[in-house]
Amino acid sequence: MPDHDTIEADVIDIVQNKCSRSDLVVSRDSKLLDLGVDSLDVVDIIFEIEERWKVELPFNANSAGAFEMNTVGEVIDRVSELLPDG
Amino acid sequence: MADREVAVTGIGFVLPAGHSVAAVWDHIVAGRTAIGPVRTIPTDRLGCALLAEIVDFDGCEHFDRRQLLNLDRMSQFAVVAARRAVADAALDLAREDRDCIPTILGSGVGGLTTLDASFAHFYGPALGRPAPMTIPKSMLNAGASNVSIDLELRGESYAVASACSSSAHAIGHAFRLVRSGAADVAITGGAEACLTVGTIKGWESMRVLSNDGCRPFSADRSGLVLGEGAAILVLEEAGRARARGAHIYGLVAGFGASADACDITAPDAGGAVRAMAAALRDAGIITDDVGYINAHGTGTQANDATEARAIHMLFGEKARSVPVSSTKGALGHSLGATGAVEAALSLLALDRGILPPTAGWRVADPNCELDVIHGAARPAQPRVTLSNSFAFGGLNAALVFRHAPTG
Repeated sequence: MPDHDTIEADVIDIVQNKCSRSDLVVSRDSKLLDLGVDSLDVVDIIFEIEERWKVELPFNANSAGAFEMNTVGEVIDRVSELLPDG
Repeated sequence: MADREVAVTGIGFVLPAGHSVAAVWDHIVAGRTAIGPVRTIPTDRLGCALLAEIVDFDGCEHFDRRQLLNLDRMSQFAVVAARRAVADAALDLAREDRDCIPTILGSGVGGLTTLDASFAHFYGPALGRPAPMTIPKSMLNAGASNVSIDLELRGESYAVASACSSSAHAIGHAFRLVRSGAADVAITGGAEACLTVGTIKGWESMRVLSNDGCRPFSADRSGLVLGEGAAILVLEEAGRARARGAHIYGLVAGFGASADACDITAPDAGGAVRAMAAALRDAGIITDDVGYINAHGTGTQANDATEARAIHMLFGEKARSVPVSSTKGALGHSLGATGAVEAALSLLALDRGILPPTAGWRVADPNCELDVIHGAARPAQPRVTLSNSFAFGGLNAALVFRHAPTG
């Protein structure tokens, strides 16, 4: 199972790839709004993490506050929480 | 409100024969074919050797990476063709009431490239999962929705599905909206991107594909050749089109449709006659006025003989003298897009005063006793052209176009 640092690197890597502006450097503190990352991208990020690590994360887009994430760091934390034994 | 005249002021293509009105028209008029050996998909499991593929379309030239995530190839074709149609019409959408512009597109099978790849990934050895955007990318209305999003058009919008008649039906509906006064401008047409191995295998199983070319109405025809692409039209109330000095390719004068209600695949001459007759009646035009028929002409034995019989039933003696051609010999059969492609070519015939030839035609068929234009294009100035679309499922649509007097 990936550790928190690996997840952090992975999420940053995925977001960087999704970001339509290659001049922006993605970090934990990057705001999703500034990067143009929307709720659909969050779903896609979780999908890619699942694909990379062959895990299923119990993320439901209908849950209250499902997309209340403002920064890349919050996405990393959410993914870490969702990981089994994370 | 009295019926209003409906002008076509913009045409946008994404086709195997080219990407501009001029390029496509030159290709068609020259009698060349865009059909060739399969190039864009793996061939190891294909019996089918020929397609009309668009090999020079790169989505990255039109969309950023973010947009491409949401756009199946079919939607990419639709959006690019719609942008081209609006530019061709010199329509400044910023000055239009976008809440009132409908977007009505036909598609036979929706985002099939996405669906095919997703299912292959899921059912195949990888045991993968469909990507998150599989559903919205593959839905039948993806083309209509993405055009409305891209052009920010907020009028009524939906996809029309009737297999190979889809976009002819779509144009018919958009035409009625503009004619009735429900809209002053409408974006309509169709797109299809159906050339996946799985789809082609399905067509192979039906035994209707040709492996030596598409030869509509030729005695030695051996079946259809699948194609892909998009054609979008800008329809506009003719008075305002003239007032803003827009170029008018022609007027949509009538639309007629019918169902065979007999067989799911076999064509029926009666159904074809009812659609053509309804379109002419709708236009207030008699058969004597029709100067060109752009036939459905798929290149199958059954379709072409039945269509010829239908033309004889409706046109009587004139059936032998009204010029007919099928442009599927040049472009293949793009299923849900083909009605719009052929509507556009019927309009260009009016506009340019040239009747396109039937690429691939070689030998006269006693079962198709028509004046089939073949070899070279034929200079002529028809006042009225008729475009036929007949679909699996027995769903027929015919569109009548009239020359627009200048001034």
